[in-house]
Amino acid sequence: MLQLNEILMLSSGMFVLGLIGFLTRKNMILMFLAVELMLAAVAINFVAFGSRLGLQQGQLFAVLILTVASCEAAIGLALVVAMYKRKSTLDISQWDSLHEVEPPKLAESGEVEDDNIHDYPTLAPAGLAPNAQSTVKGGSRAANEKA
Amino acid sequence: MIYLFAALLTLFGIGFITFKQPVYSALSFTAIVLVACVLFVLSNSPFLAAATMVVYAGATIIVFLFVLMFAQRSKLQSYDVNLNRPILTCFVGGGLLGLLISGIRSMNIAPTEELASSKVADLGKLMYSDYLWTVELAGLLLLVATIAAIVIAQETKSDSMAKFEELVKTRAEGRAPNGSNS
Repeated sequence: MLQLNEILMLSSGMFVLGLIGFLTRKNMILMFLAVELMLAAVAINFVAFGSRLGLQQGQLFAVLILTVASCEAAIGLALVVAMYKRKSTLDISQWDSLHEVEPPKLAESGEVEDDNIHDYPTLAPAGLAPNAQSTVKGGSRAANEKA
Repeated sequence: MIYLFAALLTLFGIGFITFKQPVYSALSFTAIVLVACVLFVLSNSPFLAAATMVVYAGATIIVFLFVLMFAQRSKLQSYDVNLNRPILTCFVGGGLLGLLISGIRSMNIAPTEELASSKVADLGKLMYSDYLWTVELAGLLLLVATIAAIVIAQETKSDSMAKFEELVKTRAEGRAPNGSNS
């Protein structure tokens, strides 16, 4: 049989493994698994103390931790699936700058630029030779697009 | 006996952190959970060991594996191969582990006397008498989480993104005749 302090040492080792896994892995799913590992390590602590004191409440706490962990897994995986549909990668570093899709650009004066100024590039219509004016315009538009 | 468990944990933990294939990492996670189940049994709680085995090693890991397979590519991805600052993180983790173990060692715990092994029936009585509302609350939490997971996973694109793309499309169509005029 293991003594209480030995079980505590083992569970802290498990917790640290989960911590290292969470900090080093870049795959979002494996990061979630590392968090689950940390939760399981904490549940071991509850059970060990409850068993040492002869109380059932430790096991009850561990059951609740199990419940919360499965809730977290469900919601976390749903989020991962939603994020994977967006960028089709599981890389966490792709999501380090969560901002709006197209933040409103600031003009020189600091005013928010009017939406209608945005000029999207258009192709010259087929069948007609584009005149000089439209090619110049198209060039400037291409430059805008690059910027 | 502690050395056996420590060796198993270290082995599977290193596997969990360093395997390049995410599926192998998930399987070594399962092995770690099984070690935790043995620890539960040694702490006089067989019910919790069974529940953990069913919930973690059964349901949770299967769902994680489903998502892994869903997102699986034929080639290894760079984010699976490269670790994020492994040496620094190992120092931090080792420091934390040393701190925890030294704290546990300095605790003055009398050796455990043999307790009568707890019955599952006692835990059940406790759960459904004194802590009935807690259990109900946990069930409610599970229900809410299920609904939330369904709603989140269904929504492929946020409304703003869809609106933005529609706007681009309509504008591109609206601009095309203007370009032909000029």
